[in-house]
Amino acid sequence: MSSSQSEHTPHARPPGEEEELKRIWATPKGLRAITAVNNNVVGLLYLGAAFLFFILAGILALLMRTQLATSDNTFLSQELYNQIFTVHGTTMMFLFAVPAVEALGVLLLPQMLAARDLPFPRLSAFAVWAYIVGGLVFFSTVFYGMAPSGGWFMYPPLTSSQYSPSNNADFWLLGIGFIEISAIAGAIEIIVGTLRTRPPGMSLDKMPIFAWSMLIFAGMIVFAFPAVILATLLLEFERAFGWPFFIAERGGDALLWQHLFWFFGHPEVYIIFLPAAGLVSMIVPAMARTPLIGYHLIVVALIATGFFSFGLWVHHMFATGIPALSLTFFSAASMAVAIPSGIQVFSWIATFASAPDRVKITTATLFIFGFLFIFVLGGLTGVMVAMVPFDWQVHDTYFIVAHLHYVLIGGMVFPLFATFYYWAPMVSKTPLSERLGRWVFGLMFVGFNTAFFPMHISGLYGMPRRVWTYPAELQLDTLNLVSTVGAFIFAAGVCLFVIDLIIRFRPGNSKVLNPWKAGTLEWLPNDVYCTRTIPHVTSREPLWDQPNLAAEVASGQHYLPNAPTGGRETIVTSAIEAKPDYLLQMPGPGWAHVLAAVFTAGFFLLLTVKLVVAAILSGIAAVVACFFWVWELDPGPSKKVDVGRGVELDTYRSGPSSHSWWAMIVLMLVAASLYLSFMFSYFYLWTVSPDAWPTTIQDSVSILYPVSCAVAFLGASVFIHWASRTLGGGRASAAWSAPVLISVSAVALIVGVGLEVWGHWSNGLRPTESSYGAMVYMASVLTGQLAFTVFVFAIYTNARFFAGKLNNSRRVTFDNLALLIHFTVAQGLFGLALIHGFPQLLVIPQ
Amino acid sequence: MPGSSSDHGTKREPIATALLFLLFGPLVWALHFLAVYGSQSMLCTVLQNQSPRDQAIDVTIWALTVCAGALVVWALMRPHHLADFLKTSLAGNPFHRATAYFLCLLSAFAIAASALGSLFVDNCDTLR
Repeated sequence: MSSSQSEHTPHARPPGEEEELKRIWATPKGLRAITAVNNNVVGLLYLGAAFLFFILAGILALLMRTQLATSDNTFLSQELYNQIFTVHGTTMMFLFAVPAVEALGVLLLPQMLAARDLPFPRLSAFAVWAYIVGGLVFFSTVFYGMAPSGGWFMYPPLTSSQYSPSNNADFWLLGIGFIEISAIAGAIEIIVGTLRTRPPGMSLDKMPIFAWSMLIFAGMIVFAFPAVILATLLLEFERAFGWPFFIAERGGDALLWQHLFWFFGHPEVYIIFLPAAGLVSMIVPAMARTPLIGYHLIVVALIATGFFSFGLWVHHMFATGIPALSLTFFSAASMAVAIPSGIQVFSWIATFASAPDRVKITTATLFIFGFLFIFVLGGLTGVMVAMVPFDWQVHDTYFIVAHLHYVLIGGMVFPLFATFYYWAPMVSKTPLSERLGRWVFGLMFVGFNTAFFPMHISGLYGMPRRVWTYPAELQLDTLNLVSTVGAFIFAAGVCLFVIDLIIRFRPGNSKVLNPWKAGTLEWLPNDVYCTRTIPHVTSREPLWDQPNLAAEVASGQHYLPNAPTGGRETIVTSAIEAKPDYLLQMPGPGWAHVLAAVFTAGFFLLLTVKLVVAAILSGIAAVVACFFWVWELDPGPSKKVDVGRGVELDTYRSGPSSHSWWAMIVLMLVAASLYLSFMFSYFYLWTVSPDAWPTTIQDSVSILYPVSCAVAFLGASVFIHWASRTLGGGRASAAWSAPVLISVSAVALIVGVGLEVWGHWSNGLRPTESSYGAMVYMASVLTGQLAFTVFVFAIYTNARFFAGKLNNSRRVTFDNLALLIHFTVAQGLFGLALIHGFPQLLVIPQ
Repeated sequence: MPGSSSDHGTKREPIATALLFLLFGPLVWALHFLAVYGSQSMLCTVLQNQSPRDQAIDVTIWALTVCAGALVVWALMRPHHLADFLKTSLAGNPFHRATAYFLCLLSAFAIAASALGSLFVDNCDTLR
């Protein structure tokens, strides 16, 4: 079914079309505003929440600096200080930095891509509400002494049940879990949205740099976050059930946590930095009034940074006694990653230098200059600490604190403030004050450098990290006091910004269109439905190269001037060349996703406080809410519609080119990353404690169990494949067999997992006795989680069948289930090969 | 049924092979990194104090590096061959071809940088 295009001739649009678009895309008022899913509403909510957490974590920082202002201070107790620095770091990294850049993606990307919304609007809204509820509950723990105190990185054995027996650590482990879910949901949205909802003509080489950076950001989340999800799962199982993943006496290793955490933790900082760099790449050309120099090389640099950042994680572990050659791999990579960062910096400088007139000095420009200065300094100290011998001297000192704040505040916070000033006219009726903005910048820049530059020196003088006080004999009082004064100056700048926000920021359309005369699509005339029509794009700066574009779009001359299906829609285009493919119908506001978010957060938080029954009930409620949420989706095919410019498009797509299929593929990449992290953990623990692994035939499980399990797994795949053929067979009499086959397939998976577990249990293996036992049962936990998800999904799919919402032409739901089943089978079979095959290589013949 | 499509019709550039072409260099780097670090760790554990340990690690690292380097150099010199192998038409687009080229170049540097350490540092010993 291909789109067709005839000669395009402009003509006046029928009356009432724009009003219809406004009605369809209107956001609910009053209490029902909570149910809104429009990206501009959800994005602002997301950004506002992230900024709130920035303020809250910043207040904690001021408390820390007050405690450290003088030696032997008793302003805060040791335990409270430990909780405060843990919550400060955790909040900044998990509740501010990543959500803020994700919020900017939700807010800006559809506008930059002239899409009416992201492809899964309720998923974004779900992510926001889960994050807000969970984040507020997590942060509140600092007020009643329940906050974790093991640092934002939560190293065992300090965070094991032996040394952290209360629920404090569990708040981190389970609390951060659903925030990770939120981030992954956002990543799926951004990948599919960036690749499939660009305007016609916006091929990959014309995509805005921010879109490139968000695409890479989302890809990095897919591969980095699962490692920390696995780590939190392992530590929580150890704390709750005694499975010894990190307990050395029973074959575990605390360093395993560090490997898993930093495999996530290092890409995490680039996850934070790359979108900010993308924002800078959008602002600099506008202020210099010239296209970005080296667009192509910046794309290369972003991709290279994204990849290389996965090869650096051990540089956080240089002092742990790892073999020297291993250290060199990571030292080399840590230095190599500076090259793509340098490419970007030189590109920005070259763009400023090539400005045809004077660079427009606005508050946004000032923050960009501040970013360049601070981030480059942070990058230089980064290359210093990439040298192992130097790192050994400064590890765990304030030199590292200085470095990380220079790269994170310089690399992300300053671009964020530039973003606020630059894009405020797009989302606010009145822009922020330029006069106050200069004061905000000045206070933040001076305050930041006053606070953090002396930390390089105090660190070199030996000031250790993560200490609640220091003795007077170290003679570091002056440097610490200067840092504290600087912190308060920085805070004054932020306060001034908040005052400006309160006075001036009013969500809505600005009276001034495109005040910076920028060239990208987000500056087209906008309303609740995004642009009046979706433009056909022919260059990277369409507003510069197509001067009449704004007028053409506003008068309805491009794509989708109306709502042909009567609901919320946007155009899906091909991934590489952005050719119109089909029309995506999207859901509107609703309570279901909000309730799903609240109950999901409830599930995790109730488990944290060991209210297991309540947690299970909350989990069931979350699942039911999800059923209601997705019930309206998968509307099924209808006749082709005219989307303007002589183009007719399908309104439905199933199979591998469907946006829904793509989302499932990304989700499976997440699951695969999680399992690969597990496999790394398995082999790592084997190298650490080979004695825990079976070495005789008698230790091994009878082969009947893995064989039966494999048969069950393969049967699941066969049954779902059979169900697919039954669905498409066209014989009504055979159609009843589809739900039976779906059910049998789901049950087969559960039986397979059960057989595997029973086999090991009956062989006498217990998960608490050794790290080997723990890993064997964890393999079943990971596959069992998927099997359970399949079971629930199968119930939903069958319900749709019996409600007449599932058949051969209306089969997206079924296709997604089939994908998940095949993936689960593949993971299960892989797990069997690992758990039963690998030890056979170690068995000594008797 | 009219208005629906299950994926036949217009020929589209498959995204999987397109990504493989564009990201060939970094993917080879990632596999090389994984193989070098993984094999060095495994061999240090499995061979412990046995005499061929160091030679085995050196040979493994350099064999992996030569293979990875050769692949990346091949992609640099013959992008159209790579595109044909992957059954993608992306090499015909200057932007995609240049993106793949520069990524291969950076990856070649990173592959070499990873392996160089084995020339200067003991394979399994810690520094203290």
